[in-house]
Amino acid sequence: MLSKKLELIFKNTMDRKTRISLDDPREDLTEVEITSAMNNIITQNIFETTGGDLVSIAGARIITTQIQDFSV
Amino acid sequence: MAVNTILKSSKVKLELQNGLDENGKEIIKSKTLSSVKTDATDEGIYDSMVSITGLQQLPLTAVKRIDEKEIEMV
Repeated sequence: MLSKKLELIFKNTMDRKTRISLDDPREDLTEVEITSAMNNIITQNIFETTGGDLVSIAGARIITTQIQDFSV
Repeated sequence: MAVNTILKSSKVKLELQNGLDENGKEIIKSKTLSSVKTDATDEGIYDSMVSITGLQQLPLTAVKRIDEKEIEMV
């Protein structure tokens, strides 16, 4: 079984990376959509981190994990 | 007795619909994001959650704000 997570990676005021991880990303995501959602998070500015506000986009990626179950 | 109430922390809980069970009842998958600013507006929280859940497959059914308040004696 494959499980996918979308990681949105931001930089905070202290230039440190911080991420928001989301389950089951849509299969048809575009870079434009991801950028737009991340920019909105930065604009709304509702999150606090130990290194200050989220100020810029540092990247986004999908992480796929393969899980193999044994019938033991 | 006089008390003071201080808003200590805020979190947001997202509820996504993950299909229906055998009785036709919605199965809810929830995710909590901590480190929300205590002074964040409800509009800001809602708007941010619509943005991020728009990237996910499951439809958003509810956004819940969890505020923790400490009550102390003055």
